[in-house]
Amino acid sequence: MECRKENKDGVIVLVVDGAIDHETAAAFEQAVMPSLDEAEAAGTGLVFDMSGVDYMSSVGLRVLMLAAKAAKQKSISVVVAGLQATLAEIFQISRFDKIFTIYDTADAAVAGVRG
Amino acid sequence: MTNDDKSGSGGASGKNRGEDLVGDGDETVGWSNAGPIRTIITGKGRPLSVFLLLVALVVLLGTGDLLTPWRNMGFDIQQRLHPRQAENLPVMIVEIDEKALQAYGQWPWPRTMVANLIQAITFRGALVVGLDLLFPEPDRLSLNQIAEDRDDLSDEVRNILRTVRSNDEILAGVVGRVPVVLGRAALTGDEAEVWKKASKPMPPTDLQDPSLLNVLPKADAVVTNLPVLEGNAIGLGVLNGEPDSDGIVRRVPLAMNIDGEPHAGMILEVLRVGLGSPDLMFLGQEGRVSGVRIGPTDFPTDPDARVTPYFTESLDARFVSAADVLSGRVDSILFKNRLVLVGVTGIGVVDKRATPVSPLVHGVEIQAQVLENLLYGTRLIRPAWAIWAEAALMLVLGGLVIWLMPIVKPWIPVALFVVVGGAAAVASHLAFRFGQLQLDPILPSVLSTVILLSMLGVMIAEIDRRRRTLRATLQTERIGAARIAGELQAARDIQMGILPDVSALPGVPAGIDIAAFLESAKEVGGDLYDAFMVDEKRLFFLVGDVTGKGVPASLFMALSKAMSKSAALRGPGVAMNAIIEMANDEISRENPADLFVTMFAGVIDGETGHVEFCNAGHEDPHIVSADGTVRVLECDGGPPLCVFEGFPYPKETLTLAPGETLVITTDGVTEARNTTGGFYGHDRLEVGLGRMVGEADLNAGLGTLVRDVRTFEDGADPTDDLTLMAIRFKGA
Repeated sequence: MECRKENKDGVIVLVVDGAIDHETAAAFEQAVMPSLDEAEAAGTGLVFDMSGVDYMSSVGLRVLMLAAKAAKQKSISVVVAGLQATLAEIFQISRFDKIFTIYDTADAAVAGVRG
Repeated sequence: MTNDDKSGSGGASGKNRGEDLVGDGDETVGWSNAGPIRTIITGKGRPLSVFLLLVALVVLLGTGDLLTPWRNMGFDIQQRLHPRQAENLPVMIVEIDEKALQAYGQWPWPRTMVANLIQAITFRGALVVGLDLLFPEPDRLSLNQIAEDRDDLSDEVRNILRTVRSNDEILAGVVGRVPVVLGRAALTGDEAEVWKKASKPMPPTDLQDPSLLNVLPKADAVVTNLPVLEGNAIGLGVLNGEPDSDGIVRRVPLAMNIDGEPHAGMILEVLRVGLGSPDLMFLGQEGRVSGVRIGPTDFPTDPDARVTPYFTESLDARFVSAADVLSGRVDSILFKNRLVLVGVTGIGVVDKRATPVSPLVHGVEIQAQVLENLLYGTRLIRPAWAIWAEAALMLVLGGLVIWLMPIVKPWIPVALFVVVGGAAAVASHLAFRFGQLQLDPILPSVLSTVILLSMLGVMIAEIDRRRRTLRATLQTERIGAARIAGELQAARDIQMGILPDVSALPGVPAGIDIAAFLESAKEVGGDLYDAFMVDEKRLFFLVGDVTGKGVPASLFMALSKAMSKSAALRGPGVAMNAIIEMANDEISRENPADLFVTMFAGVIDGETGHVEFCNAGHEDPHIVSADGTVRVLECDGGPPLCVFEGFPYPKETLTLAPGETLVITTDGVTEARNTTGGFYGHDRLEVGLGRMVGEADLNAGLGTLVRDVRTFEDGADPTDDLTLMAIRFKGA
């Protein structure tokens, strides 16, 4: 798994590649949490660009859950963009699609967050 | 909160690594930035060995004669192995032995007898006669001396005796007629005072350079013979020659420095007279003697005017008894063209020395051997470069070991050490045999053996240390494994201990058949199921899956099960969605590890087949009809419990037709993997579910499905718990 952070128009975009599973979840978590702080500082939000992620296990979902909870406290928005079919199914089965706003592309997500 | 913990622990682990670098004490840490020279001398045991090698080098090169006794051991062995072979004997010894003393009376003999002996020797062709004897005082056996000593003689007899020539005069007459070299003894200290006389005749010993005097052994005076003898003698030589400190004669001085004047030894004087030369001269300059020039011939010597003779064994053939010479029982040309030494060897004579080859040799035979060495050029030579060759050998041996020991199997440097050391020993012995060179392979080998032992010692210590570390690591791993195994067992016990036996549930209506199966993975995943009657006709059931593994997951699973049950039993008439929302809120409050749990929960009416259910982030279950068709129960649902507090879960309903079976699974089924990493997947699951219809017993049906999953896995270790629950509505 690779994690790259970008700042698009004040919105923090976390571009994630590869699989988020038992082995990589901790690294994923370590990448996510500082990004939330940055998003809070910017007063905008955090976009997960998942277009490069081909698999996510429940421990990956847990990190997203933690991000959602932290975002709620910080009063910023966290959204997800670019889900591949496998990931979309995972979101659908776990009903995470009901608690995350999902965009087709990162750009759309940035625009959405800037609202 | 977990976030903070995690980033905190990440920072801490980085700090720990830093402490490891400083505190571990492993040498390799400090070497990472070292230059190439340091890397050459590093490696296990190398610094110590390089230091020892340098010390050994200093010892070998810097201590000079201190190591000579050690070298002599090797040189002595060489001579003992191959003593010089005497092909002919240019020097012979006439010994005044026990036989002669018995035949001619006690020693000292009257000097007339000595005169007769000298004449008998020269009569048989000797070039020169060297006397290993001293005549410092007048002979008391002279008749004129007896005339003075005895008071019982008549004047007539006394006067006649007084007219007779003394024995000394008779001997002096012989000494003046034939080539005789008289011996002298050098003295030092108090003894010498008596013999310090203003002027005495000195042998004709010249020095090419005055500095050469300094290398000659010093003495204060010499014991001289009677002037009447010395005045007639053609040669005078000192007889001294000290053995080494261990009592073995290895090097013999050819001249001495007597109170500032060079004085040739008996050996040189015999040689000079034998060669018919009027004088001799030490060659060389700046305190280094290169040899002795006698007439037209140069005889090379060691730089300190000594000769290291290559000894033969003691040879009886060199000796002729004075008795036989005096009685004429020897060949008339026995001494022709030979140098002859005369010495006393009879009982009571203590002039015996050891040589490297023989334990007891008469001093006079050592002189004879030195003469042979000079005449034949067989003296042993320790060349100036020998010490450098030996140092090089030591560096090669030590270097081989230091270089190779840490990088190859230890027997290789040891074998090379033996081969190179052995080759050096053979080479130096050949140099001895065919070049009379004294090269010492033993001392360098012994010194570099210290290096070898130090390297071996350090290596053995290192191996021992590694073995101990390994043992400790193994122990730690075993403890860790035992601990983990214990935890896993604890997790499994928690999980399995709270699961109900659904086949024995009390009060289940006749219209409902229920079966459940749960098998933990090695690292217990936290699956759960539950089923119980909420009232007389309604059965509550749930299947859940906690994120995470191990003890935390199993504890959370137990909590989830308890909370769900308490919510379900809150009272009659509580809607399914209310139960789930209650459970969501309550479990969320007891969730320090931020886990979550997916859950499919429902209540089935045993009379109607009506089901109220909620899906909290769980896989949609399947419905298998009586004819074996399988369909997915598509749910609206909500996120897993604990993900979103206060989430309004939709209540959904379903009515099972008689014979229809609701099958709820966890992802342990669909995500079961085979050895090549493929998933069991939904398609296989649906095929498997279709087959269940054939089984009359629901339990057996689940068993068949589990077997199918395990067969697919083909021995791969399951990574997640595997749970199935089947509820069949048989009709009212």
